[in-house]
Amino acid sequence: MSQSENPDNVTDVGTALSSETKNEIILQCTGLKKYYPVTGGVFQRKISDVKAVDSVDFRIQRGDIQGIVGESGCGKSTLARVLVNLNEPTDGNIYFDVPGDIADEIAEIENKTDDERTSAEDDRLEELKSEYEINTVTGKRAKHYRENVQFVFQNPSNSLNPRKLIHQTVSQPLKVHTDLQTVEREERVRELLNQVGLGEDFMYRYPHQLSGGQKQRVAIARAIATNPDFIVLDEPTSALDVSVQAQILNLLQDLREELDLTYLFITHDLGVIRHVATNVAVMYLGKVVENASRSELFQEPEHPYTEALISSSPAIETGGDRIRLSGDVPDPEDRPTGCYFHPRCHKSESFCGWNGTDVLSILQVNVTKDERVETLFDELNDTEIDGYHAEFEFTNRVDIQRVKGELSGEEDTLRSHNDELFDAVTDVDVEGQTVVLSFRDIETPELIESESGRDVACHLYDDDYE
Amino acid sequence: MNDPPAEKTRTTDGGTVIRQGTEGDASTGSSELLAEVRDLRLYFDTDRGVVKALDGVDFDLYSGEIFALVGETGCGKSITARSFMQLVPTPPGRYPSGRIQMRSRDTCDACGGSGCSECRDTGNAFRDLLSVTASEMEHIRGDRIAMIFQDPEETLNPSLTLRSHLAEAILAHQGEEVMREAGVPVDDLNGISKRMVRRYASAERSPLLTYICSLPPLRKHKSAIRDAVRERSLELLGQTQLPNPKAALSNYPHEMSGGQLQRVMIAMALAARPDLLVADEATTALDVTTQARIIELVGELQSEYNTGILYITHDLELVSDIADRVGVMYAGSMAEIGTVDHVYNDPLHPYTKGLLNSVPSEKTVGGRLQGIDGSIPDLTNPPKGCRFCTRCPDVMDHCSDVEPAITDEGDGHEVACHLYTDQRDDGSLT
Repeated sequence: MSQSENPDNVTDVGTALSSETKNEIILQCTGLKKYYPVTGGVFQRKISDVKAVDSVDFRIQRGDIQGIVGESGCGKSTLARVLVNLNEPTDGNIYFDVPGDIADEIAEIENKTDDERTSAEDDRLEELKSEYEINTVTGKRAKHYRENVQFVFQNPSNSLNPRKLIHQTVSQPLKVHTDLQTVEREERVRELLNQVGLGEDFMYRYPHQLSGGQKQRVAIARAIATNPDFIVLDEPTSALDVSVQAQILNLLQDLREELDLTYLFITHDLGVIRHVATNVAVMYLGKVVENASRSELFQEPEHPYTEALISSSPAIETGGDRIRLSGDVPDPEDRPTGCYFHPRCHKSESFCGWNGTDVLSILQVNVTKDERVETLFDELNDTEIDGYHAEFEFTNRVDIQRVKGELSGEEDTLRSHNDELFDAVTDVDVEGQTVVLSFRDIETPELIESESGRDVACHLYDDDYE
Repeated sequence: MNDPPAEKTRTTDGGTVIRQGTEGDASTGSSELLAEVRDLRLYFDTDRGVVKALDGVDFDLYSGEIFALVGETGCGKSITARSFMQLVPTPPGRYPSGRIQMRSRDTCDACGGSGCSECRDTGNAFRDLLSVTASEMEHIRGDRIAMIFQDPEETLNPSLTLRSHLAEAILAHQGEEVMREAGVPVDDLNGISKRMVRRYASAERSPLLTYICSLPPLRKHKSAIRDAVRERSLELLGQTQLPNPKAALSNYPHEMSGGQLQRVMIAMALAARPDLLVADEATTALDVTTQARIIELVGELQSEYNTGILYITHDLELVSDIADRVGVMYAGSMAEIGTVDHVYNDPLHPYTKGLLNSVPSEKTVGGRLQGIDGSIPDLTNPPKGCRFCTRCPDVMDHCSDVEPAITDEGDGHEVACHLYTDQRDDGSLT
């Protein structure tokens, strides 16, 4: 077979790869968790978990560009890797390519607790899982998933094999997923390279001969080789210069229209996400705190974290004052109680989950600024914080009754730094030189539908809290 | 169109032209010329040929302003900054021409401080940073010019505590003052004892040193110095709003987050109250929320000390937020300089326009970005004439023959492009 007769054939095979039926929901995940164990002690036993992804639910419609934004360490990349099955989730289900009504049915069953479910519902869920859940499906369905989900990594220099020629890299997925012969594959690679704006000259080059933007084009060519439905893009332009970023973003838009693709676009750059995404989910410490359409999210952010993130980003013209968040992102291994964002939140209230750690951090932050805080801090012997219960042990040099007044917020010294925190103190007790504080017991906010109809995880939008 | 006034045109080939433009007026009144870079060329000799990393860079820096250098990877912005502190290894690098004249604290020899053309009416002598000797540079580095790097985790020594880092910075630049404050008779000590005391104070302790310092003439000073250094370290950290600086002093770099370490870097950089702070992608590795606070901090300290800041970044949005003036670099040469207002609202150079059009903004939402076609040229063999000519949408015939001179389009808004040179109206060239 000569090459000139081939192209038509090749394209046929290309289209044949795409799914026969187009289902509405390309991806739906429920209660998705990915924990990494932390080991310690002599026997390296597991002592706790880093909850990189913690109960994430969302659904991506076919044709959407779902954006995920968040600061480093918020779990957005882990989430991406779990969704494409590079890492197995600790818990939770991921359904791929589901018809709309069935997706609703799944959501309905999964929203019930184990006790509420009937055995018929359990059986139905098992049946649906074996049909759509990516870690349960086998055979043809599993192959369908693997062919139709592709991934583009952040740094193209690390994601291309330096010892393979570009055409070898791009034809690898064709080798795995299609029956194309060598010549046909070569033709398809040529077609793909043209499609991403590189041209045939690049077929016999090595990755090191390419610039960053060209490498990312190769990575995209590899991703679209099997004609997938869904591509996960993990910071695809973060390593690139702004003019190259513009080229790649344009390319991604074009390909989406040409090939009817759905993207999950992960980035920390709010300017980029506002440009490309149709829906945006904001993550903070492993949880989605807000999920809304682009226009809603950028015009009227509801979660205080979203608001602060947008406000801090130089990419977004705010016109007014910018919100400055205090403190750093907490250690994911030791997340704050209640709402994870409350220690940094500019809209925090007494029902946000304050505990002894926050008292301690007031002492630490103000130790050099306030003399009264300094004496308090210097006399602090030991602290024990367990959830909403905290014990502060002081040396004998201080009058414990006075300290009790300070720590409970009756006096002004500490209260002047954070009113809401001391409103949350429910009980104060003194045992010897130890002050025992109890705080309001608050649950971590889950995603709820706010009045404007979008998903937001914040107690400010929950009528149960006032 | 008339020829632009001769005194406002500056050529890139000569080192003799003294600028008379109006650039200084654009920044605030109190700011004085701090440094001027003229015709800076930096070539690297490699196996593949000579890489012309910088080819004629000119700009001015004023005290109390933030001057941002922006450009894409490989445009030469970082090595321009590094040249200020002689941090570019030579060889393989070499400077075929160019001067970086920096204002010193000495009075000008030519006029005795009253102001003359030699000292640009500042009354202080100017020194060429490229020609000072290594030992002179040691006193400029850190004392007069401080630098903050991109990745604080890689810049700080992982095996030393923050106390040691800060002590080193303080003693290197303010050693004598700190010791005098602590009541150490620095001037009475002889050379060796002085060095021993210094080394002990900088927490660089070996058993031998500890032993020597516990012997009579030095014994009484050691705790006084350590207390003074500690006091000064806390003061510096306090300025950077680091939470709990007392505890932070005994931390190792790995125990702190990136944003906190960058604060420590700023504290170290400010130990000597430098005249010029070079920030090389200082916030690129940080999250936006942390970045916003670091920037705010730098701004506060800058207005307090009237430090000039040379801010290197590729983040155009950040620059529009923080900088007073901006220089856009392309492939080793300066394309456009002006106030942020001018450059962002009225860009002249086609490269600047392309760059700004590449940034996703409110107007481009959901649409296409204009961007710039092609990719940056190979600097071993850059295009002849204007280096942007291969990618320029407004390219003319003579662009690839003649290197454009820098012209001032008013208010210190300078551009190196043939669209604005007088050659445009010259029939033979167009």
